[in-house]
Amino acid sequence: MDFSFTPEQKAFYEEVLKFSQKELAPLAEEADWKGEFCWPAWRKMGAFGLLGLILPEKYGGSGADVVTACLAGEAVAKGGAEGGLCLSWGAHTYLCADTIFVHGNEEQRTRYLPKLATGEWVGAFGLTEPGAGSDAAAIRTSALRKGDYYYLNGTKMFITNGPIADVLVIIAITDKEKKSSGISAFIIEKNYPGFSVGRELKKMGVKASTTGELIFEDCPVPVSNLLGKEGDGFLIALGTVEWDRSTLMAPFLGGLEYALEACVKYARERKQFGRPIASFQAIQHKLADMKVIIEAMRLLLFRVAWLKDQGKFINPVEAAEAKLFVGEFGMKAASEAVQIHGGYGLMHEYPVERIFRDAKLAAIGGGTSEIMRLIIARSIFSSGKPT
Amino acid sequence: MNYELSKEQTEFKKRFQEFCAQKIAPRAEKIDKEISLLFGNYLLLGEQNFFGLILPEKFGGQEQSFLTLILAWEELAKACPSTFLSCAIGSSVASISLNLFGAEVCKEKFLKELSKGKKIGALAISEPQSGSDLTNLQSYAQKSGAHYVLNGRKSFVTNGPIADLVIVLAITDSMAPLPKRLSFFLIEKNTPGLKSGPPLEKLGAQGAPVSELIFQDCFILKDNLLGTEGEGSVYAAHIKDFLRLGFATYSLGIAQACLEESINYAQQRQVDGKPIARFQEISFKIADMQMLIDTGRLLLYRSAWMLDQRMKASMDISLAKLFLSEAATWCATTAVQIHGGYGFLKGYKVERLYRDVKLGEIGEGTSEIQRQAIARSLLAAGY
Repeated sequence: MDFSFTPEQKAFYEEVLKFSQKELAPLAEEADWKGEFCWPAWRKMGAFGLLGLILPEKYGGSGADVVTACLAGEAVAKGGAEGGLCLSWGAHTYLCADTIFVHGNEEQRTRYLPKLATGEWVGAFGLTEPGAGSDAAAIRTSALRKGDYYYLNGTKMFITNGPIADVLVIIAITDKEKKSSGISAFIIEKNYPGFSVGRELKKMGVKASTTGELIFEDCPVPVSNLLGKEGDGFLIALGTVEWDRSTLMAPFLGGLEYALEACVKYARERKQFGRPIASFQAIQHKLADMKVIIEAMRLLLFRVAWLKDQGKFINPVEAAEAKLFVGEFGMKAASEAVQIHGGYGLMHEYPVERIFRDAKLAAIGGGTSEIMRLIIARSIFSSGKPT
Repeated sequence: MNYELSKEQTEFKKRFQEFCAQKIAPRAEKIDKEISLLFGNYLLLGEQNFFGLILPEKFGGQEQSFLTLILAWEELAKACPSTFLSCAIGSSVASISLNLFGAEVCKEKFLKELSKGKKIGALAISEPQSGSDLTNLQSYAQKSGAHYVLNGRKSFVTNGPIADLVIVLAITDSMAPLPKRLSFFLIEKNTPGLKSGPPLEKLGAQGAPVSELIFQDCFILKDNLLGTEGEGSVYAAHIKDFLRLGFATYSLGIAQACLEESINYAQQRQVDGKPIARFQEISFKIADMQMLIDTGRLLLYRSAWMLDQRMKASMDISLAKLFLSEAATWCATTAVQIHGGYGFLKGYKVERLYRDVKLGEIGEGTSEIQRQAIARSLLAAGY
């Protein structure tokens, strides 16, 4: 075993941390307050090279490994960036761009990846529907082929970046009879006729990320925009789950580290009964509990990242354990962070308030905690033996 | 970065797991009533070289890594928490301490037999009035020519009634500040003036004898001073790290045993014509158990790896112990709950594990003490 990072990984982490502290953190409060996508922050991330981090250099990326990508996610959030920005980044880089890279042909890669890598185009990924979440086989959006086009009909829900995306990977049914092997993935451009954004959804947390309902009404998609082969859609969707449970979770780790630092600072400065509240055990022990959660989270997340770097099919159990832990214990830690801040913890101007609202997403997005438990339980009882 | 054990470690763990399942686990239920079984386990574990895992070859050891040691510890704790408490936390940590700080002649004299399990070691640090707080110790070793004379009383000594040799922490300079006040000594069982109290009745881990030790004018040879006089509190910090690793592993082993018992029971027990494993109320609890155990295991393995890398690991060990002991208590409670009425009956393994598990949150620094240690490292000096 070896739990260390390479010197390059450490140096990159430090670099991203500084960048985030200097460039992204000052924009966070306002973006959260307005609940609007923060274009200046996005462009800065693009210029820094974060938006194409894991894409090969050939397509404008940096060719980073997954562990490095997780470190970047951690560092951006630890530096004080707003959670929605991190979520948009995740949907764009990992769910959309990487999916096109992994499953796309050369033509598709060359057409879409360079502009996604710089952030000039924004990417999105659409699987969830009003009536289908983790039960991906229940989706109803259909894609019927007529000549050189597939015609998409249906509605997608909770799509991160949906309202602002230029390029979207959309999962739809091409053959209902074949069930999960009758599902396919398509690359959609925003100006395709018949594609429109329904409501833009207002959220409790990760507010600077735009989330929308997408509507497809006889939307023609050229056959050349089919991703992979017909019937690959289910596996393509499954592949994004690995990102949902690794790089997309890393900002929650960084956010809690940011919160812990804020708590330590606050507890030292805030005085009650003539002494800093940091000298009270009730506060000290909350800090300790936050630290335990952070370190455990780190080990679980980087295990998933490391496994992905080994090119191994990620054991779904390890990914589910990581996500379950981040979701459940992240909320606990974020709640303690607010508690330590007392009345100030409820105020917008204190970052812990925002982190508290953001934390809930980790227990819901990309599969709820209940789905994670389902995955773990199934793996235990399908083999009949403990793992 | 590498999250996998080496091939040798994986094989070693598997071999040791099989050994524990065949030889140790079947005796776990009876061991609290039959001390002879514990002595038998010493011999069995001695044959497996358990006690010498990280000791030097010249003393019959194998010079393995801390991580490898933890792998063996985990399996032993899972098979029999009482045996683990006596053999690992009691005897092994005493041998490790002797090896780290003892004089060469002293090591020559004792380590070979300790590493074979032919002698039993113990550590005596706590006193009736002093647990994690070393400033409050009272046992005193008075220097007198070529030896020391020890007087005092030590409490909660694991292996106290059965140890062949005891490593004792005592004051050597009562006027000195704490970092220079204490020293460790090795004392043999037959030393005149050393008496053991009766084995204490306990909630759990009943197979591991724990008692008070009373020292009345015990003569200690100078060679039996560990390391340098006055360095006791520095050595104690190291020894505490091993003890905390020990209790973290104790908790991990028990939690894993609770998980495995729950999985088996949930597949057998039927309600409404189907195994209770098919109900989410049960299977989700088991999923949570596994998630917590796997997480705690990573914290523990990383701590051991850090020790192998000679990194400062005290806080990480505290993190692992705190997380694992509290997770294990939850796992044991949940395992009893999953077993329903049967979980409450003597003879069901989870009933015993439920009683055994609590010690993990108390031994070698309560959860409160661990939180304190972690908080201090976050807040730095002054708190």
